[in-house]
Amino acid sequence: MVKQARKRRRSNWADLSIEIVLAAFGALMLFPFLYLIVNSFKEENRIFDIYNIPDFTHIANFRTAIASGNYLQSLFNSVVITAGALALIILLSSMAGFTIGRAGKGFFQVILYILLTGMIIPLQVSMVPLYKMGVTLHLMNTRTFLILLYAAGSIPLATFLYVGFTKAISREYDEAAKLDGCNRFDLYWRVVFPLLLPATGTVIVTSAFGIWNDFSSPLLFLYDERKQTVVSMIYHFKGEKTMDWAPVFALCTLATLPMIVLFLFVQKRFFQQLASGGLKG
Amino acid sequence: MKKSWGLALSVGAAIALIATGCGKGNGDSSASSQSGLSGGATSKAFTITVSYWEERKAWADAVEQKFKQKYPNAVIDWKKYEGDKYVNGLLTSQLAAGQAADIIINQSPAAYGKAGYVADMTDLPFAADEFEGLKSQDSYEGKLYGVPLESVTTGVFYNKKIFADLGINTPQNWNEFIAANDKIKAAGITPILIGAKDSWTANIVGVTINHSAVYTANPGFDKAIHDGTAKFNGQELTKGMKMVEQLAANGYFNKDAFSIGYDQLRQQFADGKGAMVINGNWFLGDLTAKVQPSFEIGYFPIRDENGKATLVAGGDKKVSLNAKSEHLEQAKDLAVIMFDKSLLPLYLKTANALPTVSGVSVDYDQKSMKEIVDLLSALPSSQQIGAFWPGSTNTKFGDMIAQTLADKKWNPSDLDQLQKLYDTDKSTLVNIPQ
Amino acid sequence: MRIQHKDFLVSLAFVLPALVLFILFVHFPFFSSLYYSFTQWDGITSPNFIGFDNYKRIFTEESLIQATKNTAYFLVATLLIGNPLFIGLALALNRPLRTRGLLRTVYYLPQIMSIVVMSMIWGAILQYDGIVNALLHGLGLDGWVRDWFGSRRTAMNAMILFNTWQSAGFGAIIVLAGLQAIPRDAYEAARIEGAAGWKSFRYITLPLLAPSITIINFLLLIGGLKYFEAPLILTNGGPGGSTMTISLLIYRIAFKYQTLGYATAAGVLFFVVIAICTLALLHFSRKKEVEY
Repeated sequence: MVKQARKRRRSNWADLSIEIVLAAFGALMLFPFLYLIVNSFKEENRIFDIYNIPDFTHIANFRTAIASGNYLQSLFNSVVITAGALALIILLSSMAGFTIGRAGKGFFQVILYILLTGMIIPLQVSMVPLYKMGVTLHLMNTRTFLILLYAAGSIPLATFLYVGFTKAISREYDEAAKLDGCNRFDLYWRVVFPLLLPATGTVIVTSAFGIWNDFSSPLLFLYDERKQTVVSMIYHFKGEKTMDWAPVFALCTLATLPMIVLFLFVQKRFFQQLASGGLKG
Repeated sequence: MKKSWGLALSVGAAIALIATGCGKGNGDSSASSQSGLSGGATSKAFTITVSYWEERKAWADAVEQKFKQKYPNAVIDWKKYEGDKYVNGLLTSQLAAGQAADIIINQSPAAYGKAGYVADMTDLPFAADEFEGLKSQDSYEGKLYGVPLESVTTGVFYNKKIFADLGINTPQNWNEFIAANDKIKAAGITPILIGAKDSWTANIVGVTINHSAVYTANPGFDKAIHDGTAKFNGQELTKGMKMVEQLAANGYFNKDAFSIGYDQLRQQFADGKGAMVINGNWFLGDLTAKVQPSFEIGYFPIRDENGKATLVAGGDKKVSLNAKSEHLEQAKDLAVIMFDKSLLPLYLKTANALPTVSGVSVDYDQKSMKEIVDLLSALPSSQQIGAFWPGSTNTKFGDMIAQTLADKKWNPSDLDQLQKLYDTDKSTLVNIPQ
Repeated sequence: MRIQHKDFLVSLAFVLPALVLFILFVHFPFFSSLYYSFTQWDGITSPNFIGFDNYKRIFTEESLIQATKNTAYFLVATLLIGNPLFIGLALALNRPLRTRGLLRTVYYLPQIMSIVVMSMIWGAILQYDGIVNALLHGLGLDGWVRDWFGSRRTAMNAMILFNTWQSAGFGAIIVLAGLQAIPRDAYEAARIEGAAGWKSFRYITLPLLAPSITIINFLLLIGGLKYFEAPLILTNGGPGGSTMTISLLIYRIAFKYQTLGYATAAGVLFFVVIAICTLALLHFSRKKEVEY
């Protein structure tokens, strides 16, 4: 009893010191983020002055950012594009990842390698064919085109993650499901997909922000201003050689907020799933 | 599901576009008869698209108004793109896919002309007014494929107050320029500001100096290089690069030259942290947002030790006509209005840019714009150095300048590399220097 | 036999949608531009067939050597820093800490924001008049004050620091997910056999963590080889080429040289190099993975 209590106390101390180190590290991680928020309240002329700490009442930057375009419409576009791409990624990649993860070596492993080549293709050279394809398929200037492009671009990593996580799921489930008379789709949809939820959380967390934050593709493939995304509104503040940084910072703060909400939400589910021992059934 | 939704959307958008055009056409076809201007005007409604990347609103509005006098049923659809994406690839993709606008504002008319994407403009009235020196870069096999809306030059912009406080007069030759730098440096002020995080701000220092040195020494340098009678490692560029090296070695640039960008560069100049900036005329316009009206800026060119200088005069934002346009005739009429001498000043004034056609005078807000205009007519000028070199050679040239500024030392063997790249890629050149 | 055949078709049906979408929008555009790697092409006028000249030219590219060195340096550094850091953070976060949820969130935040804005902020923090130098000055360490992204010696290290900051939470979260997927039975069994502390980590945790470690190393490898956005925004490869990476070099060849044919050839060669690295990594790490 005494020994155990002492041990617990020691581990409490250990955990506390770990916690302090982690918190210090966390402060470092957080610093640039605070820098962004602080900067969104600065006046344009003092934006580069690091010693200038604003009083957080200068909200003109946010006004400018919102007034620069159709903010709500852009927000809607960002949500539609990100959600659409995520839905496709999760569905297609989990199916593929589960199958490849179970199949082991051979044909399906080769398919995984083929998919993985997508992560290493230097995209700079594909632009002209992509544009021509958009025109041929009548997808130019549609949000659908972006959804498909983002989904195709994220499938490799997502599949790779699902393969890894599938391997961590015991094959006993497959056997049990088979005995229960499940076909493969039932096994996937009813048994494996729920078990893969933590992986899905990871996939969302790894793909969503890149898609949301991309401000190149909307400018290349959507010419209609009403279809632009929140982040591509940054472009309203870009002169030929200059940039109005103050509203850009404000816009980034505004554009990041929905992502933080999403992250908090996904993270909660993601970790709850793990904590409740979802893997053990 | 998603896909068909998107398809429906794009088709819907196209129909909507046609529908609005038609609606206006059917509405008042009588309007066109009011206009005496409408020589070849049709009463049919149509939409002309213009693709561009820099907003010049006052001018664009005036152009649109004048065009509608001629074609009351016309709609001008101004399509603005992000400059970097548009110039470096998007426009080419649009042209290749047959999706480009009727009037294309662009930077490489000669190459597009060679590819057959844009129409010959040689016989358009404003082409005759274009300054001769600007034409060669946008021509291919004797035909003109684009006319720039504005022309740019570079030079040294300085804070007049700092110069006055230190008793420095406008330098009349290279040695006076060096002496001025020393005096400013001794006073604890950065003589010349660079914001090399935007690498062009460093590049333009080398371009300005080399341009003046090279073309003052040999006005026919590009042709000589093309014919092989001059070499990159000859005395011209060697002289220019030694001047660049001297500035760097003497420590005239800001300590944070490589970690700030153009925006911070402007801020530091406005805050009086540096006395000079070697940049283009647009710098004046970009600065106005940062400074009080009382802030006085002067301008002088880079001169050699004998006080001689050659200025850059380069066309920018060139108007070209899509050869496959369904409304080529109307597009030509619109281009003519774009270059209307009563409207161009609207453009040039807001852009702080220089005219490209004769007979246009602009009442600039910036006093030093007047100094630039006067110097341009007094001194020889030519297309910016590198205008007749392949892209690879230009990139290496920029690298050499950046490297020299970073190392405060110039590596002369870089010129041999330039020659090698030029020889490799010479065959890709579209415009040949005359 | 017939069952196997049907089984294969069902499996194929599961994989096909992802594969088709991927090939249509990633492989097809890439390989359809392959032809251009054998041409001299500015992207505008019609391509001129020149055989293997572009491929030969890559090996004479002066800046390639430096770019390769820089990329290798970056890669080795991020792998050496990333592995212990990610695993360490994940292990620490896996303990019953009071602020665990908060810390997880905070560590991940850098991943949420756009690289353009983050680069801008890091540039400001590490600039000559920036807060880091102000801090060093305050601590009396004036000798350390320098233009971090602006001097040849420190620019790449500053990039590595920036990259580590951005990827730490991401890496940790992947390892953490792997850690939490390890069944308690495994630890129970080990405890009964008397393994604890380092032994339990070495013989239970680490082997079962192998799939996650493969993932992070794969991501570090790809991320390192394709690294070009931050140097493009922050230094454009400078000063003096010290942050020029292979990917940035290809980008420049494509858009600044206006030699798309040449850039395509460089892209294809680079693709082959990355493919070999990746296969080697996967082959090597697969051996270490255990299934249960």
